[in-house]
Amino acid sequence: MWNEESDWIGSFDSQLARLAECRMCSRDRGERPDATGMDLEVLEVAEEGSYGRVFRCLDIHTGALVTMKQITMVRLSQGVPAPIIREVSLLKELHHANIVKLLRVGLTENRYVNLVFEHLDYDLHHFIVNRGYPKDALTVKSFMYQILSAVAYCHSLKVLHRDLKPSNVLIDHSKRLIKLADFRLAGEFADDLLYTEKLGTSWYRAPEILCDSRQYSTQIDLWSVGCIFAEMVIGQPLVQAINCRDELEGIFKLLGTPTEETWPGITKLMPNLHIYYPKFDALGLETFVTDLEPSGLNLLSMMLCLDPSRRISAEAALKHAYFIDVNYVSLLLL
Amino acid sequence: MAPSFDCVSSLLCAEDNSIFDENDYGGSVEVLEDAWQDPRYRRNLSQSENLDVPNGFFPLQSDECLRLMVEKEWDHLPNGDYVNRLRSGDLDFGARKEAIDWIEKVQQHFGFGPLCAYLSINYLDRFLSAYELPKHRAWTMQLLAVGCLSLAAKMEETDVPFSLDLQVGESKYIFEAKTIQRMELLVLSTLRWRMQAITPFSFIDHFLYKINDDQSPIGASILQSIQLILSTVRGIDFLEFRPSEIAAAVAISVVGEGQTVHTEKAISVLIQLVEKERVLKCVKMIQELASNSGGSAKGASASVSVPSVPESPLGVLVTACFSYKSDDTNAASYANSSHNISPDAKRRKLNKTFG
Repeated sequence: MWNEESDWIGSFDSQLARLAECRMCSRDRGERPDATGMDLEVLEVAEEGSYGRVFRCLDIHTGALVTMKQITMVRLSQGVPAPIIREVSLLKELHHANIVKLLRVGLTENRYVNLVFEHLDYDLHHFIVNRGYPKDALTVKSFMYQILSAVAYCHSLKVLHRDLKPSNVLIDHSKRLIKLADFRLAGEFADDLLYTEKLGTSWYRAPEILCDSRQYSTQIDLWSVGCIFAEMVIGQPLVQAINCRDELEGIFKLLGTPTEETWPGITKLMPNLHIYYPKFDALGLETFVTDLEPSGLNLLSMMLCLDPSRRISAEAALKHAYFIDVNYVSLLLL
Repeated sequence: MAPSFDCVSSLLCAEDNSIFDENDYGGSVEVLEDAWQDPRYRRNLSQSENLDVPNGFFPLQSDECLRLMVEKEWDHLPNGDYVNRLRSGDLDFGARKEAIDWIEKVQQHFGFGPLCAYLSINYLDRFLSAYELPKHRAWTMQLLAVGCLSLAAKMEETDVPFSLDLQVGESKYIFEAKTIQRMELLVLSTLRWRMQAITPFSFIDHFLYKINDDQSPIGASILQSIQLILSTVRGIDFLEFRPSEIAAAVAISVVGEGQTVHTEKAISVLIQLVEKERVLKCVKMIQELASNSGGSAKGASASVSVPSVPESPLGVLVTACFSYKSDDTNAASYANSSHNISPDAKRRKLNKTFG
């Protein structure tokens, strides 16, 4: 009978609820689990956003500093949010020295997903803004090499990050170690993702994404890395705009409005290109990025290439002449 | 009074057994620094009418990367005794089949891509191999199917319906959103959040390329491969093979359809990655599946349009495996499953399979 089965569902539902709300037991039976259910002592709320909160915590057992991202599951109708599933499952497969390490996952009150990460001192955005940016050319080079190493590794496993920006690049200050973080938007190649205004700043988005292309691949991450590179050198974002249209205009002012010669397929991608955008002549990267050695400027121009098919890959970038002394740099800084 | 399920209770708060404890890194970071050293191959898909992809859009993985994937694929397979338990009746084979039928119908209804369907069934099998569902409770398997499809859609699809809306067709049971969410959490924790599964789709483009003398595979062989891979997931016989072995066998079968390919030669180009004997066994099983489907398939496939699939035992198998009749529709093919979706969107879904 349906009623009987309905009872069973109710029973199973309550069992699932108990399971989901179960808090991780302390290894020492005499100790009570803390409020997070993760055996962590919360030291401070580091950040609050629409998705939830970020805490700086102390691991009760190891004494290590960790970062806990607590994500609120607000909409029951959507179940476990897709970005959480993607981020956690991707981080489960990505093991690299320059990618942030996910230590564990837990649940509190069947309402919060708690992601516990290794703790890093600050992000690159903070480093640039509060520390007068890495004026030291060797630090820029080391940071760039590490970012590219992580990106190349992701791409080799068919994973795009899709949201690279200074605030998603974490720094271990004592080791001068860089780690990529925040894989919420990450996914496999050719997985359609509608980049909309609500997904945050457009300053690091590739022009093909700003043009609303649905066909994009690894090249979008390289554009973002190029923007980060320029920002490390000049201490501010290369192009800052309030929306996608203005961002594209800023890019075209800098690199020139594309044509079929400079970007084959652009007229198909943006049929109204010359109606919406004036024909700008390129001002050139060297006009804005002045304190960069010639080989670095060459690499930057290969990353910030409007035509995605001509943009350098992460793998090729690692072999660029700019990094010829990278082993020396690594020894110096690590 | 409703029965309590000890199988669930036993997982609660056991010492060192919290299923939400995800610290399985073993304290060390594996630095895969050679994964990108080999030069990348570039696929040229301009020959394909079905795949609207610019030249060189997807890089093929390096051999080193493929080796890493072969090593990791074990992590995304059901536990060892799962097939035997299904065969012996310890696990309900019929309930699994019903769940897969439901997943396929919903996948067709929403026009989800083939990888989404494959992942759903992968999650279902891995969960059943690791977790004891209450016996003789049909609704628990239905709830599991809903949870697995919901998770797979969130991993792979752009537009994911609400979990309540996933329950289309002739579902005997309709579950509340909170129940589905909890089932999702149970699946996630049981599978230790390892949802980025390595599947035959992870290897097939590379294998087709290699077997075809480093020529880019044409759209027809890609489409046929997709459908053959999906045909292997319905029964249980192919569960004993690893994704790389299934991909190799499918590639050999598909390329062998269009031209005379010496199986030994085909395997020799893949030998660093797969075991010859196991691949040969898998090829044989695919051929047996094709010949067994031959008689009944021809009639069933009359109204099915599968572009560029050759008239052959394999071609017949493809149409047989991807057609079924429901109350209100004629036989419909997975290749044409996205009823209300534009041709561009269909192409994108096909492209995603090799992403």
